[in-house]
Amino acid sequence: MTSQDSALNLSIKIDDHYWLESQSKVLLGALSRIEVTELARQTNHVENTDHQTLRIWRNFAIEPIESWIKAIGNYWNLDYELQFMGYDDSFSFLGVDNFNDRTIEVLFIDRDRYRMDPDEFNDWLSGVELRIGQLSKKQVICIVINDQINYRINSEPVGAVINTGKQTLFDSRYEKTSGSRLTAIAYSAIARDLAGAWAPSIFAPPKKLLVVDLDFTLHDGILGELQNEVVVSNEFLSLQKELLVAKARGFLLAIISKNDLGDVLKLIETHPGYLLKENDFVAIEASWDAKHEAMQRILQLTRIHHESVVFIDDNPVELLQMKSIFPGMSVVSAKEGPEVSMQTLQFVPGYRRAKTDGLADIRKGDLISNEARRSLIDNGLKSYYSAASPVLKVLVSNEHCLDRLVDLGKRSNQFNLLIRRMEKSSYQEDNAVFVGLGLIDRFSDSGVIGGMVVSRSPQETRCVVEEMFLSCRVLGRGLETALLCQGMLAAIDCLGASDIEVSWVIAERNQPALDWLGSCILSEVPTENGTLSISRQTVSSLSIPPEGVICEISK
Amino acid sequence: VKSRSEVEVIVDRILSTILQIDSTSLSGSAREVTPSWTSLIHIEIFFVLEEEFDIRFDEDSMAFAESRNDLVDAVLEALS
Repeated sequence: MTSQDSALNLSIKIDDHYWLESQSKVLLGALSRIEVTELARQTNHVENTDHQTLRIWRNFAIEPIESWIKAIGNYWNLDYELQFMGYDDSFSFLGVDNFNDRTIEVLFIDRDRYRMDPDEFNDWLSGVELRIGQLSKKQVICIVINDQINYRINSEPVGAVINTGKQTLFDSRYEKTSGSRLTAIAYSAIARDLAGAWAPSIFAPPKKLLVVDLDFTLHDGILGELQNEVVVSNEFLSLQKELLVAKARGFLLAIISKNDLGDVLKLIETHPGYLLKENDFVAIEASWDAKHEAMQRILQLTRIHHESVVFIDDNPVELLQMKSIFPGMSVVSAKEGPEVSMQTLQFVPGYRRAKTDGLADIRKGDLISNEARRSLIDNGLKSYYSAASPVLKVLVSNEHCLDRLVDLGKRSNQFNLLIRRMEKSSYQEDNAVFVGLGLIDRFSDSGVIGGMVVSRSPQETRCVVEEMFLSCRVLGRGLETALLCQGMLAAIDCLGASDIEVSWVIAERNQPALDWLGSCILSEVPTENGTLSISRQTVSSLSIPPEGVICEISK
Repeated sequence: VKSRSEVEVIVDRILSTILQIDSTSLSGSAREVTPSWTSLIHIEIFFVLEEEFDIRFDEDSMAFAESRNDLVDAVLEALS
């Protein structure tokens, strides 16, 4: 153990240990309801909390979810406030106009209260979801109770809780008292899914990278020279399968293990029970270094912010050390076995998503190619441009890339000037154009990696950047300025303007975007929110790609 | 088998936590004079009591319990 490790151990407080020890109890519903009530009233673990209002539209009593939601929120430093609207079977949303960014609209519908046939009900429900979606301009969560509990986001089914021998969701004894047949188990299941998974899938930064330990996390036993001491039981196999599913959903996987690299690679490739293989991981950090140092290397390689990482390890000290170095990182304890860690993972905010992005292979291809790129870039950008022949792609109001742009705009944190998280409808407004930005080189096609929405100002000669973002995956190639300015230039010309207004906000995580502004547009890195008007001529001169780089503009 | 006084202690602890009121004032407390004892907190109380005592109340016990003493009676009946 290094002296730095010792210092870190000292900084880990007793309440940190309690926080970790209680993880599975809180997230998997093993607390008694009285404990939940007490936890719901506790102050948050740290002061930095993310405030979110869940506005509940419903036709039955759902209040018993409140204490569970607040308890789970407190656990993850999410300050949930629940706003219960009156009972209304019609879901007409009349007289409500205070929709805002910090409010998520949640519908609770008891199907038994409607005599419609299934098709009729589905049509009606889709209409209700569409209406509230249009009013709020945000994704809407809908929870429909029939013979099970069904979750929908923007009319798409995303999950369900079913009655099993272990858990009874409905009991008519409660109906006379509460007006609902839901049991305590049902309320807690709904609260955990809503607070830990579905609401964060709308507002929380999405997780992108799962980093796992090996011994007692991915397999039973200690990897040494003797591989036969490693056992992959069905439970560990299930966790490995879950990681493969996560990979298929767009997550990157990495290993951090205090072992010899040769032993780790041999284990993964030759152990008959191992489902995960070397090429499933973007990085395998096997060494005797402190794990946070290995994590730092992985973050540099992947260019992923630590808040988008989930770290799974069976050792509480490793988990808490990691959290003390990277406070925004989510950590999951594997101490209670793979089944518990797998279930706990489901309730890490930002882990479950309503939709898969289908971009894992592109992202991984880019990262793998980064090694080859880096060796060229180390010899100077000119040698990279001449050997890799990069092509900048500018797609003006191209509907084919619209869904990807909307998604990217909601996820980008680091290179994002305004962080408005605009909905699709805002991209399609009459007085606006949206521009997708892509990048291809000899090594890989990075796909659509950035974009912007630009609107026409009331002053006819000016247009305004409403949103501008870029994936950090493609930074470091010296092409950001040309690419973004090509995008702005295309928008200026499309809107017939002579200058463009660029605004920025100082946010918690968008330093890369501010650094870019400071190096290319402003004379220094901004420290306050601001706005700047740039002439078409200036944008045009900044948009000229370096020698050896070409730009393709298409509509 | 729990005695009435043992049940009273547990019920009082639960009520004081859920209703956020002083346990010394609980013995005479009734729903109608306890503002925090709303109809939805009422079901929460029964969820907790069922869990704590590992019992099942019948529908009427839950619907008609109106005071701390009614709750104690309902628990004792369910336990018997």
